[in-house]
Amino acid sequence: MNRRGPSMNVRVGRCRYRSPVICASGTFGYGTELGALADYSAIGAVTTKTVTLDPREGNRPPRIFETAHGVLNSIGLENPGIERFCREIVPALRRMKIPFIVSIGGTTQSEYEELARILDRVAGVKAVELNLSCPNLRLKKMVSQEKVLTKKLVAGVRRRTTKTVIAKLTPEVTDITEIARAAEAGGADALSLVNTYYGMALNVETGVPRLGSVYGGYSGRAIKPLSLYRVWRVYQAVSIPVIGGGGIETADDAIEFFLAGASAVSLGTVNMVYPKCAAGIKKGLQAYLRRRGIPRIARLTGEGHERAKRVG
Amino acid sequence: MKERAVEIRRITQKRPDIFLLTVRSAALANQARPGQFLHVKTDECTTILRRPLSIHRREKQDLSLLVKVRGRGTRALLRRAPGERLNVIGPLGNGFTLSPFPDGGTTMLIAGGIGVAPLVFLAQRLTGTAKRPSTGRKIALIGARTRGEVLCAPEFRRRGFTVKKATEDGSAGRKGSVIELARDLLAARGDARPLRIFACGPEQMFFRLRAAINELCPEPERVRCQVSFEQFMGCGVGVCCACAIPTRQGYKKVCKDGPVFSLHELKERGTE
Ligand SMILES: Cc1cc2nc3c(=O)[nH]c(=O)nc-3n(C[C@H](O)[C@H](O)[C@H](O)COP(=O)(O)OP(=O)(O)OC[C@H]3O[C@@H](n4cnc5c(N)ncnc54)[C@H](O)[C@@H]3O)c2cc1C
Ligand SMILES: Cc1cc2nc3c(=O)[nH]c(=O)nc-3n(C[C@H](O)[C@H](O)[C@H](O)COP(=O)(O)O)c2cc1C
Repeated sequence: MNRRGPSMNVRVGRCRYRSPVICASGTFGYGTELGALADYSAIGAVTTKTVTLDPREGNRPPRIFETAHGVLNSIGLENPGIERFCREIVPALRRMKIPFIVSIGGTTQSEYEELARILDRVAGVKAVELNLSCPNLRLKKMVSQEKVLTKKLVAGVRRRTTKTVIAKLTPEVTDITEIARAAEAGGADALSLVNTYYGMALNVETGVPRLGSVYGGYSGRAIKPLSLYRVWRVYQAVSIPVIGGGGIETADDAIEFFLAGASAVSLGTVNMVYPKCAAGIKKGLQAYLRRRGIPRIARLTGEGHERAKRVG
Repeated sequence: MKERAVEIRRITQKRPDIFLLTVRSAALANQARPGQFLHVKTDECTTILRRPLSIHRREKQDLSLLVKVRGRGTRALLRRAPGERLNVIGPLGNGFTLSPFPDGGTTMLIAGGIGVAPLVFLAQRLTGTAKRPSTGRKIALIGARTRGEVLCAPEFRRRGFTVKKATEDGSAGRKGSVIELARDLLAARGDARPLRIFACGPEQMFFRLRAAINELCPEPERVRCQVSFEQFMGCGVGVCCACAIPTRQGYKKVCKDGPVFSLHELKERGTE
């Protein structure tokens, strides 16, 4: 441990991040809009809101509803399309010196490939995250609910970019380790776990679903144990790094994800409440490492598995 | 816009389900404009997201919110105590546009229920602190279910507004909705002298108001009507795209493009 405290650098795929705390796609906008509300120095990277080839206007409102323990959303990938993204948003991110990962989505494999090809030439893009929770046009289900398609799509993207490829998976499968292995076999450098769970709520007075699109993605504190379990299982199944998240609110939550096998953590819903939360969580992680005399955060990854063996 | 922990000065119960919460922050008070809101972290346990609440009133370094208890968040807020710190982000949103208005014109405020909240701050600004207080006729229409639920009438009177009430049960003012009251007034005007309307209340009220203007005003497109719109909100600062509403120019964000919109640009829900 040097005088400046434990090292918070992490490597995920082909690049290094100055902090292991990453902002999850869709909850931090494009990273540029928050100005003084955010504390960028604590953030390893901002994963931008999923961008598609063509602009999308998003789902019918209402698009968000808070339940007793979590948050339902159905934004519907509202975004300006890749062209405007590259023209307007990328320069702003670079001007502000914000490290960023670009999340991409589409309804067919060729859309993902085309997006990856375009982004391969864009300077400043640290990694491409494949949002594999988009419904596939042909299959009528999410890409990452199907292992053959997952492998094929990741491999297709892999061929079109030299950037780090992160596959972000849905937790809505029978066995997430199968899908994780498929993404690894396709050539993913890293995995991001998890996207939201399906959920819905109804208004008991009117009988009407709370979300305009009837159901949506469930996130926030309620999903933490479920997400942690999936990160644990996937860590055992693959050898590529995992960005873990789902329901993180505090440094302790983040520590659990490292112990379960995460190499970095992602903050989603909590960003919408406390835009500076990455700073507090990073500080909390550092204090924890210092207390335990651990010189670098990377050492914490998967420690829980060692302990579990000893206990069991 | 900034995240701040501001001191709670007072919490005053106004009605069984309505309370006034006053916080102190000179910086916030100086920046705030009528129609803007604070995104409030009501508590740490029972809620996750923040709750948007309009700025109701300003007195020197203090800002007040007028809150109706609806669910977990507003209930938790009522249980907070003076002296505690309240985490808020704000002031947020565009606020009402106060462009120059001809002297002979009429200014009409229309409040449905708790919709009165932002209009009191607006009335303050239209009369009190403005460099050139607007002359002309000033009317405030207040709608509620019953007499006991009519809010803030004295606040408007004190600022030179003629107050007219409408209650659903007829226990005060006109029986019926505040829009029926507005219809009476619009029908009685019968001329095209300048009129501007500021409204806040349940969404359906706006579309009935638009129908009334189109039907009863000789030159409906010249009536300037700004409405403060509600929608379930996420971040409050324009990044999550959760609080979209349909407008004639596509979806807009209530938190960033609004909450104040021109009535003419809104689209009725279900027609998008
Ligand atoms: C820009 C803006 C300004 C507002 N200003 C005020 C104000 O000055 N005073 C005030 O009392 N309220 C105001 N509201 C509404 C207020 O935000 C909601 O009443 C509040 O968020 C409810 O939180 P809760 O936890 O108590 O209810 P919840 O448990 O979240 O929900 C209870 C019920 O309240 C309704 N509700 C929840 N959130 C909203 C919302 N954002 N808009 C409409 N209905 C909602 C739903 O029908 C729900 O069933 C404003 C809303 C917006 C968007
Ligand atoms: C409002 C909102 C918008 C989101 N948008 C996206 C998106 O565009 N792409 C994506 O891959 N995930 C998106 N997500 C999922 C988050 O990135 C994250 O994976 C998920 O919310 C779980 O983490 P959390 O519990 O910390 O929020 C969104 C989540 C929310 C709440």
